Amino acid sequence: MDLFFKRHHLLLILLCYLATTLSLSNQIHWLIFVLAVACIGWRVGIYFGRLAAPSVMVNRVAALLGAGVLMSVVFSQGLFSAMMHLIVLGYTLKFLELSARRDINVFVCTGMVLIAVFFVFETSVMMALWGVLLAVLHLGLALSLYAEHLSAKAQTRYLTKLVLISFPLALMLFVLLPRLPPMWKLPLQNQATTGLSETVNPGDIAELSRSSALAFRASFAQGVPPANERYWRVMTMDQYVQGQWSQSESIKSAVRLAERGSRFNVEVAGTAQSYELILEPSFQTWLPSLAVSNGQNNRANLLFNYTLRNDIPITQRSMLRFSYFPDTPIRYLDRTMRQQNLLLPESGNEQTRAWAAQLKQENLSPQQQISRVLQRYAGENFRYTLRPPPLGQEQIDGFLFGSQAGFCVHYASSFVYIMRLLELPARMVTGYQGGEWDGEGGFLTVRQYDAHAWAEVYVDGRWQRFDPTAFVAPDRVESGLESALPNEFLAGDLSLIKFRSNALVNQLYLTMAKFDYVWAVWVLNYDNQKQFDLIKRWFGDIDFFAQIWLFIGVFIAIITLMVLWSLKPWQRPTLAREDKLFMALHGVFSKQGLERLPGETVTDYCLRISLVSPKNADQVMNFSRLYNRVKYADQTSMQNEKDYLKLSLLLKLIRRRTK
Amino acid sequence: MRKNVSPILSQLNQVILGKEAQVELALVCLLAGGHLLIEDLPGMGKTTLAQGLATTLGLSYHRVQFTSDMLPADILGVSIFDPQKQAFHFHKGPIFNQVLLADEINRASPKTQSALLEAMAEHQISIDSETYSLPEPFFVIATQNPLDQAGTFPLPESQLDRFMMRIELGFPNMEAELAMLQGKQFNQVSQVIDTAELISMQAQVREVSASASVLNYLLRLVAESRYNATYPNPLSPRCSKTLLQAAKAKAWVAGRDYLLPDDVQAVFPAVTDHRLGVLGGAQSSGAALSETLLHAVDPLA
Repeated sequence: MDLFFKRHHLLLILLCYLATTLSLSNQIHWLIFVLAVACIGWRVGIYFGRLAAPSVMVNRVAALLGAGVLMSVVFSQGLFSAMMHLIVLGYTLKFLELSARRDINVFVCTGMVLIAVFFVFETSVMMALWGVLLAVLHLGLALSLYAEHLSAKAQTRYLTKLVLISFPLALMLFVLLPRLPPMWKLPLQNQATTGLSETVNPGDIAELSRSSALAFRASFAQGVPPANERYWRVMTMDQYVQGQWSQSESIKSAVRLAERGSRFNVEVAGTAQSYELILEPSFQTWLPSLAVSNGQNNRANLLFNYTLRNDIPITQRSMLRFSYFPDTPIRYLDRTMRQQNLLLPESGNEQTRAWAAQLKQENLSPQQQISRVLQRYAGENFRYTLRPPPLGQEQIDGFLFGSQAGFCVHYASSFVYIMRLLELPARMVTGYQGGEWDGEGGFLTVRQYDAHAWAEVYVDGRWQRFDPTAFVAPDRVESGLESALPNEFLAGDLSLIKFRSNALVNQLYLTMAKFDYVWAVWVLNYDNQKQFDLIKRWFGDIDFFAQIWLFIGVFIAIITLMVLWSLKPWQRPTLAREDKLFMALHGVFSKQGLERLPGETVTDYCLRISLVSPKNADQVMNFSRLYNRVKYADQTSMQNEKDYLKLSLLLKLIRRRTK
Repeated sequence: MRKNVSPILSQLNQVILGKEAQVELALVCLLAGGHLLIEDLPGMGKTTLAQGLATTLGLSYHRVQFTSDMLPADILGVSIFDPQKQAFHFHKGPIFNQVLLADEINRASPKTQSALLEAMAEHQISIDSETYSLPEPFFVIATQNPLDQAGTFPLPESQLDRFMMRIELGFPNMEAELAMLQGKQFNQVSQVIDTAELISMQAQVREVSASASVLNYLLRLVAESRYNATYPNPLSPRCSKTLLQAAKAKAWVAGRDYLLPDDVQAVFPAVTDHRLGVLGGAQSSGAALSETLLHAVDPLA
């Protein structure tokens, strides 16, 4: 066993390995962990002297075999994943040949690469901190290897200092280093989509409402719209089959067209209001938007149903900028679309059909008919609940004439059904409604429990929004789910949100939310544009090369600052003038190997000089006498001045004589 | 060298041959008004030095040989009932002299050693609720033998702290000893100055000016002893006061009316070694703590 390799090294290596690989465990194939158990077991066996270190041959065979097996398993996941697995394989197999200092170096470097990979997958604040911790852990391992002479406490202090010093540098690199476009494409991660789905069953949104996960945040340039206008449209559902709402073939073909680059153009009217969305990864392409929105240099396309769709799924937190035009009506309706939006199953829900037929015979205008239907929701014993009783085969009948208890989908679904029976083109819209406005931070937080479904009916030449839920539970629209259903809200969820009646918890929660928002805006979505704006704001108009020079300048400035900080020249006492003369004298004689010893006074030093070089003895002893008088004696300033002049003349004389 | 000091020193140097530095330190100690502890083996001239000092400076002198059965009253004095006057009469002890030579002070019991405490610090003694002032100037010159420790009571730190300096005489060099054997030693010690002169000298010593940078140096020395774990017994504020007084006396003897770091360094080991060191004498290993301390603090910084 090598002398340098101690137990705490092995423990640290194990800790580094486990922390790093477990952080990546979502991305790593389980075979790696099987291999890891074997390799670590072998290494521990070597440590305790039970096993011999594997020969080079065994190492090579293990590496080749491992690489072969892994590639056959993960190659289909794409190049990135394959490369990552090769690195993790190397990281794991290193356990078999951890004996020389060089091996631990390789281990630490590989670990650092894996931490960089970790940052590709995890982008939240907490995970960023965890990544930093992993890096610090690896640095600590390297330090413990090279600073064996320091105590554990000194090592910790050293490590802390290193990390703290590197932070301003890292920040500067992050803020100013010109961003290059990615050299390769990262894989789409195989993760389940979150949020609203492309089909809606009556219970679906109620399910979503139990989650307090963040959906997106929004900030508005011209002020936030009132709560009852915050209808974030995500998808429209125009096909009703067997109690389930979904997107019809026409929407799907519009999606396909949009993917091929065809664009739906809309005439906007009225004033534009701009807003920014910071979307949480949903792994979907549908985007929430206020009607009617269009993107500003985004990859978001408007479809004919006025919903927005991104070119690629949202796989990480991303910021999108939109404008919306509240006065622009949603007009588009062609013949196929009209038919599609009137389509109902041939039969079923007979009670509802009878009721609609009766209403139809009253010969009312469409507006009157709609208000009659809505009055029905408001008037009868309808109940708004997250936990509606199960409905039978005839869902609409069961809801309208049976349970009369449901969540937004029940209301929207039954409303659209009746509208279609009344031969008014209608569709269901799913999205989010409301959200929590943080006036101080200036952003709106929309969570999954803000998910909502409502209806749009084509009347008077445009699609108009009707939200039957608002007639049953006005609170839901005005102030959110929490006040509409205080008892059912987030039942069983232990997140902070539930305890927000406590002022302290609320404050904590708001602070965290704000920090998360700032993180998303300034760190995750810090792109070329933002960088450019920031630099422009600080340094005025600047081109790419000026930016490079700026970068170099700031880099040098920071390094200079750090050097100054560690040397602290301002803390060096300013030398008195007689001390400067003495330092000059000291300079003269230290060249001859006569350094002042620790604790030696000027008198003693001069005495020593005069003993070593007798030809200067008189001058040097005179020097010390004068020096002492100038520095220590309590004499008039005139006398002092005179002595000082003599002293400097003496120094000149000594200098001349020693040349 | 100050003119009126050199006759004193030259006479003392003829009493004790070849010990110029120690003799000067002893004089410096008395000029600074401090008590002196002379530590050495028997026969090194401890008592001779003490006696010489007292005579040269024209001080009344009494020698007390300390033993383990000694009582405080043997030093301080005792109240005796006078049947004629029907009252107690206080018989002054040997301490009512300008110089008390406490020979082999560590042989006395702690009780007796402690009886000296008040006298040394306040120049007065209290007996039977009466307070008696001691003559001015008042010096205690104590000697002790560091080696023969059987049956001794080593001085506690509080007692040691009251001695301004502790000096060791050490063996004389061969030349000095030869001169001594040839009878060149000066046996007839005469008075050189009187008490009034001594008191005026002490006043002049107090007038020596100490610049801010020297005071700063002194403070850094003391602070180093407090914040560095190398030193088991940090130096007290009394010690820094004593150090300054001693250094001033040293500067005055050298003929200056201002203090140099060199003065502080010259008296530093004698003033601080018995305060810094572990009880019972010098450090066994290597340099004394005071030397370490002087090396650790730069007089110029």
